[in-house]
Amino acid sequence: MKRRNFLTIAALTAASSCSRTSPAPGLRVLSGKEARTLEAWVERLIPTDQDAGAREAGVVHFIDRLLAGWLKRKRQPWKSALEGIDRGAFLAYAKPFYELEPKRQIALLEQMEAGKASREAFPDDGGKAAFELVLSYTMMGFYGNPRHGGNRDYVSWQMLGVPAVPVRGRRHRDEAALVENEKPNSSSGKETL
Amino acid sequence: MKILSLLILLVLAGCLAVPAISFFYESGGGAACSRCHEMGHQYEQWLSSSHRNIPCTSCHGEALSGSFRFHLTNVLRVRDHLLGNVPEPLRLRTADFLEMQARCAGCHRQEFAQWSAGPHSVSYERLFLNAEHNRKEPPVDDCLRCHGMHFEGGIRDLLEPASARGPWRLRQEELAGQPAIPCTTCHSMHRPGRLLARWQTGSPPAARFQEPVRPSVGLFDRRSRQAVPVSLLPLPRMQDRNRPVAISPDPRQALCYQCHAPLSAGQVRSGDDRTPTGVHEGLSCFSCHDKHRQTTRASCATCHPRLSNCNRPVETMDTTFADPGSRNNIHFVKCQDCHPQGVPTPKKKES
Repeated sequence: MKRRNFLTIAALTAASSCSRTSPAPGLRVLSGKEARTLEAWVERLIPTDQDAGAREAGVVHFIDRLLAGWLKRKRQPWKSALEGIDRGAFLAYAKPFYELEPKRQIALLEQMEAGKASREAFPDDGGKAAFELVLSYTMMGFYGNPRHGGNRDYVSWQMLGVPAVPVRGRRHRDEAALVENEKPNSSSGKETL
Repeated sequence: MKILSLLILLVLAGCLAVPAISFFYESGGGAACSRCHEMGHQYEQWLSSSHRNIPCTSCHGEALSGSFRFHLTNVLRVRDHLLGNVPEPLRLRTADFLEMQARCAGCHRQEFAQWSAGPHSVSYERLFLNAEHNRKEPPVDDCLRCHGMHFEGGIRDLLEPASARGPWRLRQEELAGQPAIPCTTCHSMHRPGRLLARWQTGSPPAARFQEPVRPSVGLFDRRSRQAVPVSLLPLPRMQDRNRPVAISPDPRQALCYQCHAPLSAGQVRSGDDRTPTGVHEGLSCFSCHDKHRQTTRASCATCHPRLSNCNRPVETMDTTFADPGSRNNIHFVKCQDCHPQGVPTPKKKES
């Protein structure tokens, strides 16, 4: 290989690697800006009140993990959704979505839910598909098992009163005991000693 | 010849590069590891854990150990990292858990000795090759929820045949002598917590500075392959037929109930339940059982005979649990068992 060719390839490789948006610290796919936008979005869908919300549950981390793995080949709708909502926010309020006040964020999301967001931001359906996409994965990340990366420290299960690991006997159901319990003043329960 | 020399040189360089790179990252502490691997979450947890003064290498091995498995694992991790196939959350494998066991023992010698002398140190061989038990209750996947929970795979991957008909053998014979309920079943090393207080003569009792429940206490949940802190484990509502049974509020018991669990109706003594009723109702498991050894004999004397006037020889009396006919079974002995004619009313003190 000639030196000139080698240098050209090296320069192109370096340029292409620089042009890629690097993921935010702690994330694998989403850039810092995308992560902030997505966090603001999911926070509006499941806000923090007396209980933890989507932010505390690590929904952004859950989605980022999916985009790095199972959804690796389906990243484009996510990128479009995040770019679209930011564009919509700029068009309406001249600010990125994550810098808007909560009221304005909700107003924008309501427009998307109804499919009435700016066609300039969401040319196909006024943001309805993007809204549903993020909503569905936010719910998965918030209510799913923490092993998938969301629902950090079982926050949603704690809110619902669902035990992290239920108390479960060996055979789960003691049919004999159930039948006995249905009888009032039953004197003989099954005892497996 | 020249090519061969070059190849040998490359292979040698590769062999030396792996431990050299491992050593380079080790020298930077956990921060260096978390920078290049997907270990950020684990590293952050460790930073606030009671083990934060213990370097990663103490538990996870080090480059100079000469372990081929250690270096092979690192090479595979780099491959996964480059291919973007890193599992998350990062999980330890069966062999990793068993290797860590010896490292726990390096510091926690007393606890390890107590655990070794107790029933929870039972080996895979004793548990799964017990012919009498296997004939009575055929091995199923659910067994692995409480025994051999760190094993990666189902009962068929562990035992052959997985049925009531023997003879049985372990498919991985190297597991035979390994503990089926190791330290990591009930302890998570990265859980946030205070450093263990070092007691010195003249200083206030160490217990004043410690959490009532050690933060490492939690259950290794086989499904998620994660440790669930004891604060998130439920205490069941128990019943003795139709009567609600009082249970001690000691949160540590939630850990015991995960495996010594009643059946779905929540009846005392159903399934593997050991909830005390009768005169010992409301006592915590840990009121009587030693944490690591599970022995109880010594604990009887802490309450008796001060709390009873029966003058029972509590150190030698029959408290066998295996004998369901024992009237003195401490889990359900009632006043009437010793006073069939009726419990005498306490005499009023004369003023």
